[in-house]
Amino acid sequence: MAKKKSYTSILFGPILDNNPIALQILGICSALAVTTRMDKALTMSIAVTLVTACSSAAISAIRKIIPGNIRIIVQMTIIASMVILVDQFLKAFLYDISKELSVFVGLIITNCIVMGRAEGFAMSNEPADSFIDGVGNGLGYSLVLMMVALFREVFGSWSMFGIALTSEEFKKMFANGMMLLSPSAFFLIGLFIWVLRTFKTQQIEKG
Amino acid sequence: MSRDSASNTFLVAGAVCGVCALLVSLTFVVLKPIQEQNKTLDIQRNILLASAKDDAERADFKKMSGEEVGQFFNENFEDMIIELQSGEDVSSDYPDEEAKAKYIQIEAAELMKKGEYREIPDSEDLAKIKNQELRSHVYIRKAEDGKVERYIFPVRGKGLWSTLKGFIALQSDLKTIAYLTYYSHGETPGLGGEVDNEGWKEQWDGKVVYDDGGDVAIRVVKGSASNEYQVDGLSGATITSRGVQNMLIYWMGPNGFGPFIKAQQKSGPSGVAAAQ
Repeated sequence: MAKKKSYTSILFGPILDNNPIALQILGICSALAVTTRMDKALTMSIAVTLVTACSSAAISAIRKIIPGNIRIIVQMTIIASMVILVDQFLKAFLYDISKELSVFVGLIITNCIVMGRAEGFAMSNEPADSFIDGVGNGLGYSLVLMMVALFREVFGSWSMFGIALTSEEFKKMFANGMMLLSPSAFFLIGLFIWVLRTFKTQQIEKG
Repeated sequence: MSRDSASNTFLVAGAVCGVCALLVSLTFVVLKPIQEQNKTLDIQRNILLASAKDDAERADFKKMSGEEVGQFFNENFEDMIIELQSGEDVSSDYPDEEAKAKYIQIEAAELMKKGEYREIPDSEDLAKIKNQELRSHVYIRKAEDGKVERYIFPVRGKGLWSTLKGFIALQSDLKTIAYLTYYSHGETPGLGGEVDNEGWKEQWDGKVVYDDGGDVAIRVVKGSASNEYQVDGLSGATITSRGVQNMLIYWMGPNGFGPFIKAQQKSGPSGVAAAQ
């Protein structure tokens, strides 16, 4: 194994240098669905960050006794349980937002980022490192989600976190309905990747 | 014992499942009462919004805290459960308000609870909902003197992409529409999604559901509405508009609340309201 990485590089690495959405192109599906409003995106970000961090830590803690041939199933079971916990808490304490997020909280289970971190990092690192790696990747995901949601909510409905920025009349004239549809999230993520790779040229894939 | 041996595999799998199952079921049991209360309050808030007499009152209802919603609901509303086919009031089958609130009719139909739903034959299924509950809530908003102000009926039906779920509020004559609102749908934002548009919802106020013969006459039309039975369709959303029309024809008709409404009009609603 390579020399041990510092906590800061584990935490901040995935935000710009190794962003799970922008570089690894993982977790796109939920990024399309929950980014029409910033409060939805924020709740989803927190949920994914929590799940990734806690499940990575839990999996890492028992990594030495997990039999190789059923490791994916064991990871899945732990991740799924965490997701159900988050979903139940949202339904109890943030009912309105959980209703809007509907199935997408449950679908965190299939979010490739969570599984990817469990298999790719937690299985071969200490629990503390894995936890921080989970938080870092969660934050990387959150950054993209919040950026996309910012553009979609501002230009799609001229509001932020559900609070109107302009008058009703202005909104009627200038709201861009396409921003509220899923394809716009693709365009925005594409633009985000473009901007990122302009500054971080080592991320450009060789054709 | 080696990590990859059969016995260790079973042991780890069993232990992980046991711990996870315990965690999940514990949270579920602990949080269930709060979640159920949230659900009830959410339904009640939507009923309040449907029953509002004007925009100012509606804005007030939107701002109310959960507690206030519950309180206002308990003071001003009667939650009646009726048998759809006969139109009879069967509220007495439920011991108290809580038991009534716990009956969630959409679940009875969608989860196909035994004995609580019927399959709608294709030829009758205007609202395209496939299964219909046998019993439905009717919410009656009353003034302080007991006079009925609004009847609120839950309706639902398919639009273009999704099932639209909402409430229709009728005036005390059980013919005139006061408001139509959807609390859940997945129609295209900007097109079918405009069922949420306040401007569009306003034009339902004062429209009449039944013609003189007692048939459902309300229609959502293309172009502009020319009489009290017609409402302008949403431009660019023909299928959603048709869905809205069909669900009203279905739910206000003989397979929906028709029998209840006819019985009420004949006998006068229970209580003081008959004196009107």
